[in-house]
Amino acid sequence: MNEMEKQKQEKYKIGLIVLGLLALFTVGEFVISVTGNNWVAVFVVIALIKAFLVLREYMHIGRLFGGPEEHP
Amino acid sequence: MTSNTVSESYAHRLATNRLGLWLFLLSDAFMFGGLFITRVYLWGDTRPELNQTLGLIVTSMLLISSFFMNRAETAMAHGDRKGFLRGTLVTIVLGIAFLAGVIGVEWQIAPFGVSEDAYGAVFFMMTGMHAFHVLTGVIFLLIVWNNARRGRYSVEKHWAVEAAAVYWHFVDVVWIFFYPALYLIGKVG
Repeated sequence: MNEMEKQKQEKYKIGLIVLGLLALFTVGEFVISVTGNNWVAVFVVIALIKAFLVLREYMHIGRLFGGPEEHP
Repeated sequence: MTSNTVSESYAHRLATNRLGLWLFLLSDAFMFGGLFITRVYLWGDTRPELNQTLGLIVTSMLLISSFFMNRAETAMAHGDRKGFLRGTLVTIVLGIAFLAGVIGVEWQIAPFGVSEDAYGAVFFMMTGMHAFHVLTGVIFLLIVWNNARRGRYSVEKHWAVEAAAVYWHFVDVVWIFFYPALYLIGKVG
């Protein structure tokens, strides 16, 4: 396996971990709601964590502050 | 012009493009933020009786579509064009399924009309505006997918792919906040 393929597999793995966390949080907030709890603060914190994960790992917000760079 | 100058020029353009896209997304986020605040103000600590399971299903579709979009962008950045085409196609299908779930099902079974009360007005405005963004995202992805099929992007130059992916994830982030606001928070009114 060449270096580029290794990097790709590594990034795929990170993407999968993020999806797992998103699924966990989403099911968590669903369960909180259907069991009759109305913990607004918890819902807000969960949404913020989920948004942070997507912004950081999927949207690569860090690229914005990294200065001019080429792909990848 | 030397190849080095061309390369620097592209890198500079890429940085400028990124800034422009993120500024656009920021302005769009203010609009969605306004809708979110409208929901908080008009619904307060209540929510309409919506199908929570359907909400979970459409949310899952969007989250999984983001995963495949990330996979597709990663594939393009590593020279795997087939992987990109596959991942983007799955993203598009999931995006259309999300639209079908929200517009084709949820809108039809909603226990209120669009102009009936505050529940209807806020619900249709929030989901409608979001669905419009999903639709434009799907169109954007179709264009990028077709261009990639024709071999217009490379490992070094695929800004359009990155832009489409970031836009798609942005739509996902908006829904991350809309989902609990519409389906989970508050007592059924």
